[in-house]
Amino acid sequence: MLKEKLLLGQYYPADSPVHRLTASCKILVTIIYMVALFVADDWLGWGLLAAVGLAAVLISKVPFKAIWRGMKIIVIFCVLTFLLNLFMYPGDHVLLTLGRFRLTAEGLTYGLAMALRLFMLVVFASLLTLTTTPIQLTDGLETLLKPASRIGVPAHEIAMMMSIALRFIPTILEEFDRIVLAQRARGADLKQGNIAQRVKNFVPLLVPLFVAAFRRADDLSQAMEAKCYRGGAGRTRWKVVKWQSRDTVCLALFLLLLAGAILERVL
Amino acid sequence: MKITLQHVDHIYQEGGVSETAALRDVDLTIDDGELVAVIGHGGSGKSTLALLMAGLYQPSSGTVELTGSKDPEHPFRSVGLVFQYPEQQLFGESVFEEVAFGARNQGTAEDYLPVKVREALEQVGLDPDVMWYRSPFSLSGGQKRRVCIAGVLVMDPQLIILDEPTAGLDEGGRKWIAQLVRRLNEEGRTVVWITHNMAEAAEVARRVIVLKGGRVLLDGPPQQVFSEEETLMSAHLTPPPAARLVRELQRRGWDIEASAVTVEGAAEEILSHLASGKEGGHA
Repeated sequence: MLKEKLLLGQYYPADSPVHRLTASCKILVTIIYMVALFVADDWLGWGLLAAVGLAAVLISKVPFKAIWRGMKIIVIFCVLTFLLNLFMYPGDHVLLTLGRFRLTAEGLTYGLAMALRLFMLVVFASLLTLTTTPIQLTDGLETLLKPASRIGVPAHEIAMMMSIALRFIPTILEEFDRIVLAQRARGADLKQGNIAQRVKNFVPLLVPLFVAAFRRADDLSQAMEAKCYRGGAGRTRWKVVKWQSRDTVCLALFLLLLAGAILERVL
Repeated sequence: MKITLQHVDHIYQEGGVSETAALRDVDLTIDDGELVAVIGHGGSGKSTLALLMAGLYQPSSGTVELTGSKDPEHPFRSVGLVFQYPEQQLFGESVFEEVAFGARNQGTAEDYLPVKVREALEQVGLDPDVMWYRSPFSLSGGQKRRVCIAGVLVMDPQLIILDEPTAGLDEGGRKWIAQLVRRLNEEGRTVVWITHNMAEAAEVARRVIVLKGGRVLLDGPPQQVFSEEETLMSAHLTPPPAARLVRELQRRGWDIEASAVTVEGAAEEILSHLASGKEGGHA
């Protein structure tokens, strides 16, 4: 069913140094890593970053299988990127000519690099969601956004919206599966007809789905109000997440990595 | 129409992290014209069984076979399934559109649709002239349920499965459902009624199947099934109140058969005991 296909980056519970890092640290580190990937511009830099990424995966105790499950579609995307760059990138060292297309050494390098960057980017990003529960993730986001709340950014509200959205994705997928079954029981054939017909076929699925989503939103807002929820002002936490020295160390290491990548590019 | 399940297993997320077996080695035959109640605790596999019998799920292993369908090429088209809380699947702009959906999917001609929809609405006790253009979303909970059932009946199923059709209905609605189920069966349809209300099952069904942990625990006429109090308890079920009453009277010394499962049956037993004049010590 649909739910099983969308396992990308679902939390993998384990006890590892990566799991123990504070969520806000992990979010920052992920952003730094992504920037470094695109700043680096030779194989030494890319290789080093890839090694760091793989080391992070090993330390996290998340099995490669769990990461691979969410990567299948991304790999196709990587291959496409590689092929596109391979033939489109301008270069002088022609290796092969196929009709109108010229395969150059520069294209080969650039294509491989782009594919590797994309691949590692997604690996690292899924490591973030695999080692951090959605609640920790939104808490981390709230912490990071808090300074911006002084200039009127509703940090708490954004984080709350995100966590509610994340919380209801599986519920809505489950509901969608049920609706599909129910309409199939009434003889609905979703794969029949031309495009216009197929779009029409989706009406009996989407209407109940939206009705249910709005009803659920209504129920939830009432339940939250009944529990005296009034947004972020004056709200305290049950579990206070503290920035640890290991977070500082980790962040410093990645900042160093980024600095190295920038220096390498400039020099 | 007869349905036969042989060695049916159904496993969710096979090979995945959260693999769970919903049904295990189920062997079951429901004959043409039977009226069967399927009861079981939440998570006992009742709804999975319904989906398998309707052909919406394929069993992980084993076979589900239908014999005697009027459409031998697509036998499962003769099975109607009313989902639990079916009103959550409403989508039509009008009651007519909603009910016509199934018949239209079957390939019923457009000008014949109104006839079928009218019939189906009358079967569920709704006035077609009042309901026709109304939005199904504007109806009351009980009316919505009726519209949904009409939406299945319009396809004229030979086997009809109802998954907890009385859930969330008031007393009147429950009684009406029981009557409808009986009538559908009298019309010659095979009916499978999933419920966890023991009294309902005892009143209406002539055969009761009890599921526990994905296996068939008990299968037989209500009198027999509900006499197995301890086995039922192991599946977190209790016999209907009427059956418990006559059992309790027997336990306290009344010399009665204590096989009644309905209020009427219990009344008979008690009256005949009183008439025989051999009252026990607890007069």
